[in-house]
Amino acid sequence: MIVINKMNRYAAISFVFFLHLFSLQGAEGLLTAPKNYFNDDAGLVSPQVGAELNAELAAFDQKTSNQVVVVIQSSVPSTSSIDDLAQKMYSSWHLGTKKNSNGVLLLVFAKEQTIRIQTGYGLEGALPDALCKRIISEVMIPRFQKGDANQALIDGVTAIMKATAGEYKNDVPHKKQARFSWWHLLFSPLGFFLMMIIISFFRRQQSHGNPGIGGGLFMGGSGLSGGGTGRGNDWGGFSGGGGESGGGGADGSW
Amino acid sequence: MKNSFRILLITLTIIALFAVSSVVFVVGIYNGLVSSSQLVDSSWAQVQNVYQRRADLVPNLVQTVSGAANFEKSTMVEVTEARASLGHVQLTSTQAPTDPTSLASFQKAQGALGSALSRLLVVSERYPDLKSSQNFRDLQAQLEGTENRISVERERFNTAVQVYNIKVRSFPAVLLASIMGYAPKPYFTATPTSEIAPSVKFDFTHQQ
Repeated sequence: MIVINKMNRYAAISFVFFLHLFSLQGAEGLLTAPKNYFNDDAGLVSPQVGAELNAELAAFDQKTSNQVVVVIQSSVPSTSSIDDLAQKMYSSWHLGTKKNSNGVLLLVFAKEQTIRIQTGYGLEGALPDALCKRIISEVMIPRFQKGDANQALIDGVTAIMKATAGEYKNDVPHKKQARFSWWHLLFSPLGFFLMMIIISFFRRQQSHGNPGIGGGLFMGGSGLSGGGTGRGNDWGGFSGGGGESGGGGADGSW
Repeated sequence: MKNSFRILLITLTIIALFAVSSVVFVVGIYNGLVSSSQLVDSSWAQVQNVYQRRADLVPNLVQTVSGAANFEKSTMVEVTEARASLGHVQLTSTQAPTDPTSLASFQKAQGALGSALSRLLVVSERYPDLKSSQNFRDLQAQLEGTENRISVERERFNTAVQVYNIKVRSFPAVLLASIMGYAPKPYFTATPTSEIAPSVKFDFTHQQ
């Protein structure tokens, strides 16, 4: 039986709070950091090619510390120019290490049929604007025009990796281990429930509170905590290293 | 007498504490102004950098387009002259400009070069041998990239100036800033004509 008492009220309030936290995770929208190195939100390439390229780019990062990230979206949000958008994305995701800014962002917009390559400060020498333009117009665009998006991405990514291969070394291997933070645990939904259980335990000592609700909420909470905190680096996904871009790169359309 | 000695000691302690905390306070304000001023200066250096990069592309560009048959000379001359006039408004690259008029004339001269360059690129669309030249296409990519870099660095500069200006104008720093020699700094402004795309007059009477 659900008994309306102080403990249940606490539980109900905190449950609503978790839901709020969960909804906040999804509300970031366009500038949400990409989870992987290869992100195809428009379904432009086949999943197999996507997975292969993702693995190659992750390995590339491990080996050289260069962070090449591909983001394919269905269309450009109407308010932005592509240069502006690419700059905002790079600034918020911080591709490349903080020291070297060795990142490359490859953006493809399926509806507008536009490609943009944005380079971090550290790779402007290896990937100057003219080379970015050539990769786009000579490698990627002809293949897109033939209708072969898979090959366009494969060859484009290969060209970018080839150009930037010799520049840097990853001298901090395994830097992508999961960053476990006690703080995160405490404020995650899981942490809240742990606290609730502890509180209810103390309450039970004082007055006979209803522990049944706590059990039910725990089930819901663990589901939430699974979906809510997407700490990508736990599963070998992408997380930015702190780099910045000066606006270099090139774009083109097919 | 013990009592008055105690009062004297307390008074002196209070005065000393007040003096120390004032010094700490003033030092804090000063250091804050110094560091935000330094950020403005380093942003300015980056701005100068990217503008120089654009200016350096001009000779190569002029040489490439003059190789195209019958290229319209007037547009090319405009570019060369705009680049030459940059020399009249050079600002030091070590310190951000403190005077709004000198920044405005710098910005105007750079804007003139920018407009001349975009007109040149528009005109060059008419010349197929230019469009097919790899050299020209590379230069075009570099120019576009440089323009993008210019707008990024200008935005970063304006942000740094904003942070600094807020510090200089906030209370209580505002009382001390002018004594220390820190005044608000000017921003880059959006020029009124920058919204208008350059119009190209094709001059068919000049066949060079």
